[in-house]
Amino acid sequence: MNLPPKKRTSLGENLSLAAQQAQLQIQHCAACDHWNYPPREVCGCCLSGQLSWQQHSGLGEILAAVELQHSFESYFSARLPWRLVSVQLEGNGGNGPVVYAHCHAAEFQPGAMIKIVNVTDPSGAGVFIATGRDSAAAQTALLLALAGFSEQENK
Amino acid sequence: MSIGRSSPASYQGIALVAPTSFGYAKTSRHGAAWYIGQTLAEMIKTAGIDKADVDGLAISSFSLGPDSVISLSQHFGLSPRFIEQLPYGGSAGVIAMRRAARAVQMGDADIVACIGGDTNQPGSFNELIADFSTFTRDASYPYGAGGPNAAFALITQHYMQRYGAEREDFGCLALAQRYNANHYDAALHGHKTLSMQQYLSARPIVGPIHMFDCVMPCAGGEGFLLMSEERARFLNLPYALILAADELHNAHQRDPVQYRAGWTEYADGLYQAAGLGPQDIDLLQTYDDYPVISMLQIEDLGFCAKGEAKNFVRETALTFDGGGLPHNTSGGQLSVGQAGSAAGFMGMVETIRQLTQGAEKNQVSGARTGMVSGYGMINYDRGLCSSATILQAGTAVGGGQ
Repeated sequence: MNLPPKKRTSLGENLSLAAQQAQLQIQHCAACDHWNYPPREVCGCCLSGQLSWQQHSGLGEILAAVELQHSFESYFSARLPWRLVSVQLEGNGGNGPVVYAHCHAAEFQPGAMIKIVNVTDPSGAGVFIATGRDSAAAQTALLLALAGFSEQENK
Repeated sequence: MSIGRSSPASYQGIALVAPTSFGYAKTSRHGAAWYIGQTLAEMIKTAGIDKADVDGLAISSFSLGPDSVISLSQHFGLSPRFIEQLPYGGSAGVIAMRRAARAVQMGDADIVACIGGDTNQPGSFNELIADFSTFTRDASYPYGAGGPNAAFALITQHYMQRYGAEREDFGCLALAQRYNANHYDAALHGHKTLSMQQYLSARPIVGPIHMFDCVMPCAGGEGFLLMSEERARFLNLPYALILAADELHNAHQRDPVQYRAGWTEYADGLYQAAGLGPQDIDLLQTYDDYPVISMLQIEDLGFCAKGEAKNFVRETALTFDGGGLPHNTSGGQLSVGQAGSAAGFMGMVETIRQLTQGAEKNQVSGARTGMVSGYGMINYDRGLCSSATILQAGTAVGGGQ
């Protein structure tokens, strides 16, 4: 099966559920108002167990960007180069969570203000894609990115 | 309210002996216990002790499962009274030493075998990286990252942009290490030379990371015995002493991209405890899973200012015989190979070997003090562990009791 990695933790499955509803949800702490990512059992700020999945704006800044010329996963190694960015999302007083995201648009370089969307990849799992901030551009980039996920879309 | 951080107590009276590197191979049909057990056997032989004299085990391995250190006691026929398992990758060697030293100082053990050992079977590296941690499974592996390459590519890209470092600077490290490996028989790449042209034109892997920035996963074992100085002298073994050691993990959590690690918080304390400065260090072993991480260690341990490692590596001879700062004197992981957790012991073992005048063609002339730095565990977007120690040659055996 030539699909992206599908395996997630049980908490991580929530990202896939949100993606099916075209929503970006991140764990938010009811006790201290802290956004948490990657998915976890307790708040990384105050250790509260009161984390819930809440809608996040997806607005963030690209920290670093690289092109994969090699991957251990056959899905990606068949589609090289594959572009990957790290993004700091807004929130937590400027210390928002850092996420990895697919980003096929080479114009999004470190420092670029972008928007993260949560989509279903060909394996059926939720993944983040970095797109432009205005909604029309975001839609276009998203469609292109989905096209990048190839004709093997199995949903 | 905090009343301030206390400093580690002295490591006085502890000796490190029988540095052993065992069985490096690209792949192996053996299990991890073979590498750990054979390393132990060689250490015992070198020290001239009985197996039953080993009453402590401090073990690190990624490929030992489902066994653990206690399984090994039965496998090896040992009856230890101190057991410690250290899943800390590139920091495991220094951490093992710290834990074992306290056990011996406090009378919980007399002779602790500190060993990192791993096998490398076809496909095992892929399995390890695909499920390295829960954070990896949810947040990095699905993006094609495939292990640490992508995380370090992002860190390297950010570092280059922030400080103006160039690929040639990383190449200075890789070339010097390859030269060292050319003088260390066990190095898996030791029979090949490396030129800057070859380094720069290597196959791209991820972003600024190219072939010669990546380590080759392999099988092997690294270990040493830790005991009292009194015992080492009684056994007539050459030894190294611990002048200072410390560790700090997941430091600088608010840095969005890693460009420093916990060393910044205790490097001054190490030098103070040792009564030395960076200029007094005769050789340095950093954890070189990627060259940029060695640059972070060179900076954070005070050999140059932050962001200046690019100049430091250009201006300083890093070879074992260059008269500058001998660095990763056996070739490091980049040229020897990364034998899983053994890689976290490589710097310790090589430094003990150097300080006891046990190195062969790559012996650093007159080496009296060495620094070893550990780093590791890419749980998601950065290495979490940091550790470091300053070691000193013990009194020459036979040099007047």
